[in-house]
Amino acid sequence: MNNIIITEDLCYEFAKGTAVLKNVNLIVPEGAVYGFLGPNGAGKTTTLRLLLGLLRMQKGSVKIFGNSFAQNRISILKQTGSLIEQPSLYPHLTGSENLDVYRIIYGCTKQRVEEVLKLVKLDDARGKLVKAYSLGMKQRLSIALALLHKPKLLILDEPTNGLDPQGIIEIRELITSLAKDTGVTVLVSSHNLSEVEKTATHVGIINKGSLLFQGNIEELQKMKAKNKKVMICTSDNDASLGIAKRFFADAEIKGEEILISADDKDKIALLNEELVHGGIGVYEISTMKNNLEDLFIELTTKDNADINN
Amino acid sequence: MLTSIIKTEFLKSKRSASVRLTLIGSAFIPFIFLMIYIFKPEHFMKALAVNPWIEHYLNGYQSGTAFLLPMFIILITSLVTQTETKNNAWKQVYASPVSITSVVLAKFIMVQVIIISCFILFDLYMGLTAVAANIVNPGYKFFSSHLDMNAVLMYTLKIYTATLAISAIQFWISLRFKNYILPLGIGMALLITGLIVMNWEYIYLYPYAYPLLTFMSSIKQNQNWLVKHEYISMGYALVILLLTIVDVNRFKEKG
Repeated sequence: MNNIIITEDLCYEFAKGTAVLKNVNLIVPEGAVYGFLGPNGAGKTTTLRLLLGLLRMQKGSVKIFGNSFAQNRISILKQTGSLIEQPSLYPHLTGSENLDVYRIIYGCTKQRVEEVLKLVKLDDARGKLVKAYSLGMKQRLSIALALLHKPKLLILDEPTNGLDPQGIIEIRELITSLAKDTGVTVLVSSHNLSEVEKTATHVGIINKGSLLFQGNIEELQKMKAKNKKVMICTSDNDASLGIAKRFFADAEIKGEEILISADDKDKIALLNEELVHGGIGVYEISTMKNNLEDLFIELTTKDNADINN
Repeated sequence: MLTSIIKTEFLKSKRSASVRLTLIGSAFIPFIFLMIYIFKPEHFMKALAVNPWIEHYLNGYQSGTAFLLPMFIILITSLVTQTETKNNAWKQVYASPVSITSVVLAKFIMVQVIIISCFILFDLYMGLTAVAANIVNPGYKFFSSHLDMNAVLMYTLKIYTATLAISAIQFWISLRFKNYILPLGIGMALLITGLIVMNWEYIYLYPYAYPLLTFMSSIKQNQNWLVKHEYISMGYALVILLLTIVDVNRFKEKG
């Protein structure tokens, strides 16, 4: 499989001494839906802006479609569609006029404008001025704009930002079906782990400018499973902890609960049995939802302890 | 590629404030003259007794060149260049497969197209003003006098040339700053400074005084071809446009 995007030791600082990106080595394989995950301010947008030449490169290199961006800017951008942060639209023009502006630049047909309008379900609003559009409609029009010239690579920066749940689902489905039907490679950034898990085939996790994890979705699931915690709530946590430690060495009390690593379901059942036999009331056993924050804590404290130092 | 981007500039000007400002702004002075010609005929019939058309056009240029015209140039340049800034749309332009140089050139050409349209409209409105005044008050001599179109076009060309330097400087400032008020403020300050130092011996080096200079030193003295400061204006415009292209290409952040 070819890699569509390769960055080598991408570094960036807005002011001297305050690195926003630290040696980011991104690899986006052809046909992937690459979820670029990280909290706000992690360096996602900066990375994507560097990929599109919207920021002047300081250190490192970017290769897209196998070619250096610096030397092949126009030919790369011809095959790349993008949506960076909030929509870049002209509010005094209608939806279809906004697309016309880029239709002229890309040399697409009017037919194609109709196609993308239908694709994002804006064909009924094509004649409406964009200033009268809702945020969701603007976001969809921006996606239509990114798709106009049938790009081979789609770079979307938080495309579901500001959308309602229905809008989020629609965008998610659109990305999935586009990747499946047209084979376009998608690099989509998000700060929402569960959203990325629903669409991505590959994931890169960035925090404080460093890429903490990169791999396919199965590898992410494995890592998550390894870090999964189970929470137990009992009538006597101190006594329970002693029993729990016999099964799970890392058992600990956090607040009103006992936390254990949930790597073995049978052991959890046995522990429950022991607790009940020991006359302890078990109120609740549940899997802790692994959210982005926990994942970061895991990634930063274990494998990448040096990064925080 | 450049023609495509110019086409998009025309498309973007649809329903824009810059087009409205051009249509209304160019009619302002002619409208004022229409009013005073109609309501103060005794004074103006005398003033326009000899060579009424040329005197009429000179009245118009005299009123515009000192302040209103340069102000229009400052405003329109900001409006056109900041269409993207205002709507956060530069990033999409720069992430499309066009050279940055052609993006800048297309914008500059659009600014010039609008300024030239303003001149054409102004001349047209001034003509209509004379016709209307003469219809309302047959005492005016516009209908019985010859309109020297060549002279009017020459005045227009000279004043337009004199504005080139201002539009290039304002163009650069407007692209450089993301703030909309700043280019207007700088432009106004430089314009007013020009009016204050009008008698300076090196005023021909000061771009914001050029339109008035053209009117005072050139048109009034019947110099019929371009004069020194008008050539300098073109030189400034060319150099500053080139610098703008180099500067935008080197922007650390685009959009």
